[in-house]
Amino acid sequence: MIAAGSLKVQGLSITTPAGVKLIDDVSFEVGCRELVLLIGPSGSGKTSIVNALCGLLDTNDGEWQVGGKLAYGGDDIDLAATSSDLCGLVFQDNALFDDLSVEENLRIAADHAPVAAKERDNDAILSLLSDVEPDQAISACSGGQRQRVAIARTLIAGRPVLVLDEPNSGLDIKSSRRLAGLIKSICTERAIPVIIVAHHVDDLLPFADKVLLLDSRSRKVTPLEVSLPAIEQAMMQLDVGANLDRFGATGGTQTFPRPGKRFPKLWFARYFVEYFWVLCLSPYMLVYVGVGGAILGFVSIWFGFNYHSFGGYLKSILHDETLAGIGYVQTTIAVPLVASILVVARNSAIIAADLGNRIMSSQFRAMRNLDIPGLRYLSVSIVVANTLALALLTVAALITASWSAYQTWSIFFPDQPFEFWQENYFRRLMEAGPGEWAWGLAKVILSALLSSAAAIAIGLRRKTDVISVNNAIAKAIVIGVSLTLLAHAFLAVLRFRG
Amino acid sequence: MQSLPRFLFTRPFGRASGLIVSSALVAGLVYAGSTVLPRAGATQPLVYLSPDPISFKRNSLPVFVMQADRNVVRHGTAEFAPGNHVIVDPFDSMDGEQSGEMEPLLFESGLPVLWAAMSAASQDELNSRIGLVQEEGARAVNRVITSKVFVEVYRPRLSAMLAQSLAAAWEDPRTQAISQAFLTDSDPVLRAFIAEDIKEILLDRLSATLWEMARTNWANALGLPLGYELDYTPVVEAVTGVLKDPAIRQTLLEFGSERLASPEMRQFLEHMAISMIDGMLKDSGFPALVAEMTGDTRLRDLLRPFGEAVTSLAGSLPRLLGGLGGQSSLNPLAAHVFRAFALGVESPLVLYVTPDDRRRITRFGGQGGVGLIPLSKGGPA
Repeated sequence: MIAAGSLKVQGLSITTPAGVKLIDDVSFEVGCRELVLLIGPSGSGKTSIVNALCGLLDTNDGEWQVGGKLAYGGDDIDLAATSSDLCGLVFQDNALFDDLSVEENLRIAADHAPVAAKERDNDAILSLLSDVEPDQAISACSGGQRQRVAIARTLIAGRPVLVLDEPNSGLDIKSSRRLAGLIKSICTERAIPVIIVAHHVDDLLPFADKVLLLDSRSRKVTPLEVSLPAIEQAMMQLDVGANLDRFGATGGTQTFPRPGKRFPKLWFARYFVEYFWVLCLSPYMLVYVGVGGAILGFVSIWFGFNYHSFGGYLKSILHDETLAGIGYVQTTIAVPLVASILVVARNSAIIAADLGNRIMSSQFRAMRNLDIPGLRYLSVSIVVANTLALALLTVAALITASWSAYQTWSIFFPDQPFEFWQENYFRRLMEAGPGEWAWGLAKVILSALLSSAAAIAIGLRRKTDVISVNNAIAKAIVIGVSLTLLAHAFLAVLRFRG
Repeated sequence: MQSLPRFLFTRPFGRASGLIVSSALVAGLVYAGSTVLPRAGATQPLVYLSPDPISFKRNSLPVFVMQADRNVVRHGTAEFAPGNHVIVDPFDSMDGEQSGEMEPLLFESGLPVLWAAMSAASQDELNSRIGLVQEEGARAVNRVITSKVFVEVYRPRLSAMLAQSLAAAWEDPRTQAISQAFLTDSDPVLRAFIAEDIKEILLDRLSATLWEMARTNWANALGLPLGYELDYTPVVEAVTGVLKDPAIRQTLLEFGSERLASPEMRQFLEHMAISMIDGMLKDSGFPALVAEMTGDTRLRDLLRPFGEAVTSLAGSLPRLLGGLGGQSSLNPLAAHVFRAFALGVESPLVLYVTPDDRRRITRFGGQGGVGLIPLSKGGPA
């Protein structure tokens, strides 16, 4: 049981960045164990009220004007000065972290929850998921399962007030009624105030203790009688469901490990490993870069020796210098450049797509609501993983290019020893010494940092639909590769000036 | 893909299978990297002693092996050590290929080492081509000096140069010293005869001899600025002709034939003749005249066969000396030597050869390389 008390909202006013006043001087109260339905016409500002209560107003849109106070359990928050962290939000589209398993979605919330919440008995919450495998992917969950995972995750995060944004959208009648019963039981058993924003209240109304109507004309919140006729009078087309039963009573037998206290920074490692795998170590990436390097090694030797105006003399009289020149250009210019282009193009697309989808599915907002420093985890992981990936994959491309170059060379000169090729191919690089390696490393690091920053910035921009994600991917590739070309050209000119 | 079971691509099996594939790929990359990237060699060095003092400034040098078929491959690297030691570090992959019977020779990069590495067939072909050039050159000179253009245009100018050269040779203090040595107590009439008449006869005889000189020495004419010694045999024969000239014989008989046959007289005449030829070749107008002849379209057709033979010889040199050509494979020795030529740098090398080749090569004398004496494995004593 958590601390009982009422959630008091006093004088709440919200004005959009565009200057539209959504609500003005609204006050209402939600008691513990109370389930309140917040209804109103589309665009009336219901979601903005929720975002204000949860501290999630989107500052990318501009500066919101918020006024009023929020009080609960001894905490008083001046909303004009401080963002609220009292309310845990279950997003309309759930905003689950689809790169994590069900268990990991819960565990990351638990690891970032306040100490008091970590010590709480979460068995009742976990019982909501009795039909879900702990290591089940989010993509493998049904709509109802996702709703319950999202609710469980929000509850585990330990916020004292639960807010749900249209939890029954997209659910069939049976699932919607089960969900309403579930929410009510949580509300009662955990003695917490619950606010549900909904358009379709017929399945929820039997469990509601209050109904608040947001009047878009007066910009006020008006209490309604919890009865269908009253709501019908205030809103059109309301329908009331019936015969709700408690979900989970006949559920499966899956048990989740109890999310105990862990070191939250481990999640940084978790995301780093995830990104490092995708950006560097996945089989496709290794094959992609390896084949790219091998083709480069073959082409440079084959065409360098076969299609030169000096013809066969390159293979004989000019062999040593030709091979030394090709080797030097390969190892210092061509391989780092081609590897950088290949890696940056692919990884920029992945980063922009990943972040874009997280933005579009409100995952970053969910992280903020769950007090998870997601942006820091992800952006730092991406930058470090991408930089490391580019350095390691450049070495991989250098290996396959050199190997391929030797194999091609040995076709031309089958009688000559391997070391003869090696001596000439790497001669100028070895003569140049460690400084040359430092220049190569500088190119790789600069390319990785610039392209990572560009992809992160592009990926984090607002995404409204799939097309905006696609555009972000294309933009990240073009800008990332362009920055890479410029970085290599700039450092090459700097290196060989004079 | 769709025919494969779905679980292969879902967690945890999908991730596990990906990890296995990635691990295999990374292992392959590491292995490829360990084989292809530079690393320290594992073979033991071979230590040799040079019987001659080593004066090369360059410390490191390449090592080649000339196989029995005279195919040359790189074998390793070497470096000079104090005490005229040469430490050879064979390539790892070549460790077993060097026969214990092979003998190392220390060369300076140059034509001798290329000649040594030429196949017998290539050497025969090169000799044949050089002979052809010599023959064509002789024919070309003959055609030129008997041509109407040469006789009418160039021969008078060459004769004039020769006359000037004769006058200069007579006035030369050394000529005067020689003549004084054997004419001091001679009759004044004899001295006047030698000073006047013999000059005329010598000029006449040497004018004809000049063309024979050209025939004999044409092939080396380009080497004159480098100090090539001309073959003066025709001049000596011309002097003999002078002494047998009827007019001279008659005059000299009047002073006693023993004087005619004296070595001093012969030396005097030969000196005169050689000074004449040298003087003409050093005449500032001579190169201009040769250039004019070379550019004369009327003589060009006469020289064409010779030019073709020279072009053919020059074109075959890279192939014959280095096994080089339009579609040829690598001769690392030739590549190394030509690189040293091109860069103008000192570039010694070690060439392992079979004992048979060693005997063949050392017939070249000092240019046949320096045989290195094996000491021990593991480093200089």
